[in-house]
Amino acid sequence: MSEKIYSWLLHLYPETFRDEYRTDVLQLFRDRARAERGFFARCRLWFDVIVDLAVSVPREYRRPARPAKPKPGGFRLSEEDVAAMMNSWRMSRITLMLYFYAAMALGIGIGCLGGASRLALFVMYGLLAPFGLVMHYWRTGKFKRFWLGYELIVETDRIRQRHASDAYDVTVFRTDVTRLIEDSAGFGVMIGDARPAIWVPSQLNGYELVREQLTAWMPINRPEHLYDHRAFFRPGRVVRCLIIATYVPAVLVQSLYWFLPLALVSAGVLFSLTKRQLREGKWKNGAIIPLVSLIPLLIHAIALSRT
Amino acid sequence: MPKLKLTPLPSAAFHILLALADEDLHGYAIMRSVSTLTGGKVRLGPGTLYGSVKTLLEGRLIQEIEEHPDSELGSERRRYYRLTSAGRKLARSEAERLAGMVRLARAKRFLKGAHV
Repeated sequence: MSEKIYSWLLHLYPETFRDEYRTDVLQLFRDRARAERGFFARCRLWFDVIVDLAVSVPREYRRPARPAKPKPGGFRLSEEDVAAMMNSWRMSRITLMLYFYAAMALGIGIGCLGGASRLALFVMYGLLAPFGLVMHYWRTGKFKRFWLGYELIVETDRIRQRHASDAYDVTVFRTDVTRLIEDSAGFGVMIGDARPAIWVPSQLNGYELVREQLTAWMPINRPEHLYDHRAFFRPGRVVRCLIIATYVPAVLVQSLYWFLPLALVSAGVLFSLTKRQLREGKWKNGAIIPLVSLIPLLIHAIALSRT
Repeated sequence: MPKLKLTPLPSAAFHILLALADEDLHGYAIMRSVSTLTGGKVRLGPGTLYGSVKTLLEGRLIQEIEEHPDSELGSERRRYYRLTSAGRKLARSEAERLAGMVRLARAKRFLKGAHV
């Protein structure tokens, strides 16, 4: 009788879950009912079952749909863990440091020519360096050396990558692909962003198969490093570099003509950063960026008020 | 965008990985093992257990193996599960994360004693 009631209650679960686990769930209930005899033991069993239903039924309805099987002409590759080394990360960090030192040299040169205080100059760049580095970290995301539960589904018109280590699941359609890039560590599928949306490590079993399939979409490039330079030099990034390069001379020269346009640009950058942080829910962790970008502006305003 | 809920590892999933650390088990044996390991404090219900098993299978942290005869349970059909190397790694990292939290709790004097 208990089993019949529980069998009826299983209709509360989604059909996909019932189809897959109905027999096993009933078997487990049967095992417990067989082992837990007596009035109190049976009461405890039913209490557990009711609590379990209350917790697990909503969870099963929230579960994302299972990935569809590859269509004819497609295939699926999967590995328990795979090394996902991306050479571009190191290269890009070096590039960023070069920009930083170039900006510092420019500032120091202008500062020396203007007879400005070197101490103030170094203090200002000390404040701006973390700003640039944190911004770079945001753009590249957390670097993952290994992915767990890696899965790649390649079809004639789309490619899908999933891995469990950071709950990544993305599908890219053939029509959205802007470039295919490759280096010794693997190849990436670009959809316009600076980073590849899908990364296929060269150590993946079946790598050549994927490569062959995607070569039919478009030729694969072998750039010096995998970041898209055109995306790197977008207007927003150039404006930020300009701010970094010109803040210090602006503060040291203490000219109202420098201050006003910089104040306007800074307000714009600050507004866009704040908006993006709120949209991406990163306000708490990323609050340092608007605060840091405000400091030079405040120092500049104080310096102006004293002249 | 659909996402697997494995980061951080849910408590039920972690218990299942621990239960499978030493041997391949079927559903009821996993439930009994978890209950034994936790001194009866955790009793996984059928829905929670198989929901977690499904998530772990999708994440390739455990794998289903060919059923094999079980002398204790006769000829009833059983699906056995085995911990994968990815599952073992994830369980280890989760254990390290929890150990770190215990160290923190001890440093803040929420816990007393020399050992966890």
